[in-house]
Amino acid sequence: MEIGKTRKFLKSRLQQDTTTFYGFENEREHIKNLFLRAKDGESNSALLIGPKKCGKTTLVNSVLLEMLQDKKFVEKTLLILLNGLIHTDDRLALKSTTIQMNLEKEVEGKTFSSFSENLTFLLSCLKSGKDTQRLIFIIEEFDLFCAHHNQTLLYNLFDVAQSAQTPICVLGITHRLDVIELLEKRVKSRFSHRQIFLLPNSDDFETYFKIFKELLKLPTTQENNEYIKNNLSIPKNVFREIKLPFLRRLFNPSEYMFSKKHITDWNKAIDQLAKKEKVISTLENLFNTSVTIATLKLFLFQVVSNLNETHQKIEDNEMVKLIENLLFEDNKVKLLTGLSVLELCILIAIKHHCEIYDNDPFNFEIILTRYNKFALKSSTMQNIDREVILKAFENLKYQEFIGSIGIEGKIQKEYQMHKLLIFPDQIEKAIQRYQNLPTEVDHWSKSSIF
Amino acid sequence: MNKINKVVDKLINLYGNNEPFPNCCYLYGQKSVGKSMCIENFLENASNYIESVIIYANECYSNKILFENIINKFNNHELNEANQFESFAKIDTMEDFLNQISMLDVSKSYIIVIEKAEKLRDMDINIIATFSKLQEFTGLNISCILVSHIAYEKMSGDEIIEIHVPDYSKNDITDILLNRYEEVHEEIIKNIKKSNMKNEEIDKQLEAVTTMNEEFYKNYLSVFLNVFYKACRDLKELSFLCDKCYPSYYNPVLTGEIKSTDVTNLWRNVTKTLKMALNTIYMRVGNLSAIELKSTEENDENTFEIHQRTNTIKTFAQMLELPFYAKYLLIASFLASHNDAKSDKKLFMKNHGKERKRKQPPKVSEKMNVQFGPKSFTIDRLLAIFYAILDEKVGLTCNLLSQISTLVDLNFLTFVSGESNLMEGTARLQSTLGLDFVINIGKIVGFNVKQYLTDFH
Ligand SMILES: Nc1ncnc2c1ncn2[C@@H]1O[C@H](COP(=O)(O)OP(=O)(O)O)[C@@H](O)[C@H]1O
Ligand SMILES: [Mg+2]
Repeated sequence: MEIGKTRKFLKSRLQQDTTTFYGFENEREHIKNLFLRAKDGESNSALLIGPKKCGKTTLVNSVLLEMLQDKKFVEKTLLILLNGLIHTDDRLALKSTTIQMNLEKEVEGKTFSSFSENLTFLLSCLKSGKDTQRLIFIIEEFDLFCAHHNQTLLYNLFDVAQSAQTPICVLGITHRLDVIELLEKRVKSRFSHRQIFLLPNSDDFETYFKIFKELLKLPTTQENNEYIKNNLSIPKNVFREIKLPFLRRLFNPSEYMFSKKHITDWNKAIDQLAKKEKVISTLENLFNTSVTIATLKLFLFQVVSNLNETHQKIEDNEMVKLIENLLFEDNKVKLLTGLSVLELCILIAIKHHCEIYDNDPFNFEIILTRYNKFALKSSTMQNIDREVILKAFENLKYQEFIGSIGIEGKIQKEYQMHKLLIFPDQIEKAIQRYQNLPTEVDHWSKSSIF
Repeated sequence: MNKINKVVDKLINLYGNNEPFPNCCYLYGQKSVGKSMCIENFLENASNYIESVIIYANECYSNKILFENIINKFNNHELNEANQFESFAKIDTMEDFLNQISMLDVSKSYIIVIEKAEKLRDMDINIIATFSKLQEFTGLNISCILVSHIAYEKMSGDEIIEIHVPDYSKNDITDILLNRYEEVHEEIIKNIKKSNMKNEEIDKQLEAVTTMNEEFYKNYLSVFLNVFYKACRDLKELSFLCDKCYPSYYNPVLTGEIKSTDVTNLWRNVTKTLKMALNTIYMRVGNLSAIELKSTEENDENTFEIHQRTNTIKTFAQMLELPFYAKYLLIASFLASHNDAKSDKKLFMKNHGKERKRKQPPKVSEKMNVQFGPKSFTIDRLLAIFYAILDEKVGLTCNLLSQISTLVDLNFLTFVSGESNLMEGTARLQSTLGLDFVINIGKIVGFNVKQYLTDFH
């Protein structure tokens, strides 16, 4: 019973808690300030920049969750969410903005001669209320908007923000560190040049390790209460009125009740685990390949998934094995060991060709000649027809171990030039692992002279 | 199967009842290794707590179809006459799609399975990125399982949970095929009863069938896999061919020629059939066992060889029917396509080519002209070579031109340029034939092709 609940709790915190943000206090403070000033009616623009999965969205979510506990913020601001993956052109973005501003009725039947006229109209609708609402645009995958025709949306938003006629705040989020260079001159000149960088620190294993432990431990009652006080004291109406996806299933630790003893025992076991030399060093390996919390969470999710009634504890060697699997297991080698001996032979012929001719491209005929030299003398691979060998060759292409170069279909497939898309040592590894490989094939793989 | 269960268990662990799901998983493994079976078993096991849909990306030739299929399924909306085959909602954009997903019951859990996920790469780039983050966009407990036969790096650079479905070993495959013994056996009995043989013969055969027990079938499988497993590990293909070849193994038992326990003779008897069938892998030649295999069992080596090239057989037959000169034209076109024009003189001048002493043994593996495909040639050069290799003196250029057209129609030759200028001589042509094929033509007309290819000097 307890283990099932523990597993669910840990999974929820890893997966469903999208508002707890670790570290980067200064950067978080920056964003928070931006929103606070927006609330007070100041216009502004900023870019939040950091590599993929470094926590940009989580940071913004965490700030928003905090802001939503502030009644005044909820009343005074209107959040508009845009995303370059979804709003693939400015027309779609404007349509979505209209819907998010609840102005579909107002624009019905109206025609606008330009984008800026349309936007101005939307903004003017805000003013007609007794107290002007402040718009906050949160633009995810901001770089994709730079590819839109004339960067019209960006130009207009930055223009309004700069001229400060209507209070709007524009926050762009992107993984492109060079995003500024993507902006057209007239757009760039209207941007505030406030850039907030979220760059993971690759020296700080200590913090990473601390988060590792924190993510596996169960919170004490006191910690729980604190979390609820800080994060979940949001007025009920917010859930109805504000349509942020993450608000729909907020992580709520108070849904889980554990006995005091279970909490102490579990956390002790985690401390024990975290003391093991082997665990620390493999975790450090993981950190050295990818510093983001995202990788850590993904890995822990898989560890936690293995818990059940018959497997009640996280074992150190299980963890070590999983990390080593993630880091060193080559999925291409796994696929290669599933090939037939014939297909493997063709790959060997290709490998030899690439070694002898310094990675020159090859076609089926070239490889067939080389393969036949082996097959004719071999005791296992005789009597296989050319057509079958061609099929095997094509299968290697289907699996994307080789790929054609140049335009396909212009010449007969036997003559179409190809190149190898995997490394020779991946082929070698597969040969080592291949079960019941005829020894003559193994020998041939080691030396092109057979 | 144990292996399948392991994968299903892994999936159940990741997608527990009433637990938050991961954003996205990648299930991969060789083709017909049981990926879909894993998915089906898993979804069936979890059907009481997961709403699911399986999509085949190769069938989604537009985003709209992809989106609407998913939404229809999650809303239990089936296309039928009553709704005039209209979808649950009209979905043109990614935003429409996400809005529809967001409207689903937030207390339930959802999985979208995408089979042949590698095809998503041919669709809009935002699809993979969005489908792997559906929770962020909708707030639901929703996940996407991508299923494919290629390595994940080929799809995306983002991290993901990967699940490998391991390959079948030879033993696995034997077990799976052996599992079908009863079914196969019943089928044989049914066919004997249905046949229009004399009653007496039918009784005799039914008697013989009883000796074909599971052990007998197992022996067959072992003989069969010994030939096939090295060339093919595709279970679907293997079981298809296994069925096709089985009659050739048991027929002598039915007719009483060989005892069911005489494994050695049974093996000897079926070997030829199996070797022949080996060369039809992936070609799905209709009813192989019935007609073609029989004829090879009875006939000599020569027909056997022709049959071997099951899919070139038609071309070969067409070639056989060609007039003598046309056959020479085919050889000439091949020589023109695969020799450099500058070597023509050396090769075809009388008193030069044939008596040449070979200084070196023929090259085998170094780069050869024939390996790089045909080069184009003019009609003039073709005719020059034709006259050179044909020992007779003939003057029938006009007739030859019409034969060239026929060869083009039969796809033995293709135009590279100047299609309409055949008579003027500015057209350029190319041979489409392979070396083996041309060597065979040479044998028929008594001409040694290799002797006239620079590659073999
Ligand atoms: N600093 C962090 N604190 C907490 N979680 C983080 C942090 N960085 C990354 N994550 C986790 O990594 C995953 C990806 O984060 P996300 O905010 O979506 O990244 P981004 O928006 O930069 O691509 C999420 O599961 C998130 O919880
Ligand atoms: Mg993000």
